[in-house]
Amino acid sequence: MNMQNKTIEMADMLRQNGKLNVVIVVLAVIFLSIVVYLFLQDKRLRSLEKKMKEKNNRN
Amino acid sequence: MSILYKLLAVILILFSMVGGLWNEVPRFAILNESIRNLYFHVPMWFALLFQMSVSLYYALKFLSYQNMEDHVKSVCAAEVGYFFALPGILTGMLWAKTTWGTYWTFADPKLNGVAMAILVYTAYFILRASVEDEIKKAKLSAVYNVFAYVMMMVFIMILPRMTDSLHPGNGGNPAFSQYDLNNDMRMVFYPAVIGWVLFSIWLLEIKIRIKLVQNKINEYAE
Repeated sequence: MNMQNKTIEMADMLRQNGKLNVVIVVLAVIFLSIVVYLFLQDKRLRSLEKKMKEKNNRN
Repeated sequence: MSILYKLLAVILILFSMVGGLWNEVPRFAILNESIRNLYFHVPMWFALLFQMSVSLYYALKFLSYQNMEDHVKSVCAAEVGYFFALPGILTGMLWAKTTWGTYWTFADPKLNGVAMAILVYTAYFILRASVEDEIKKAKLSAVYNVFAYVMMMVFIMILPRMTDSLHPGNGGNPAFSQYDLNNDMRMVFYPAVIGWVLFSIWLLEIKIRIKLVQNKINEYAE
């Protein structure tokens, strides 16, 4: 494999001075906040469905 | 039960983001670090194909049993799948710009095929919108769905493999082989695909539930 071919330019510097992990954390934070939002919407929808069912049962 | 697959989706995608940026990747000229896009660009298309397959499954089920709930599911899956074309194409364009030097090229059969497949599914939604009668609409869209799926498969899975393509895996270019996907990359790539497919199922589930609630409200209104 081409793992050792150092002539090909990669983000080695970014990894060496340890700043790439900031990018990774930022990505993770954005993704997780979207997921939390999605979970909240999911919950809201569930309560709506529940209300619907109760109304159905009363009729 | 239902929350488990959602958590699994989140964990797998998160793993692919962290592992995908941190993992050691093979060094290739031109591709350089952009090889990591494999973990993010390709799963979009897997999610699209998966959702279109789900849509086909429910379309066929509807045609067999005439259950309107199957029709709702079929449409929702097509909508979720259709949505995944957007990130799929945008990420592909960015990747193409840095490696092939252009955002879009008609020289690549896969790009043409994807454009055609999207048009075929656009026609599906236009067809649905143009029919008033609910039952007629459901039957027409289910029949067209089968056609659209077959066309999509021809356009993005078969034709690109028969001619030269810039995409790996087509026209003799290797994909998923030892040359461009080593075991380190597989460790991230497969979880990414499974994660995004599960994530698309989550979106589908929410979409179906909203549609069912809407249908109920409409029933009350009548």
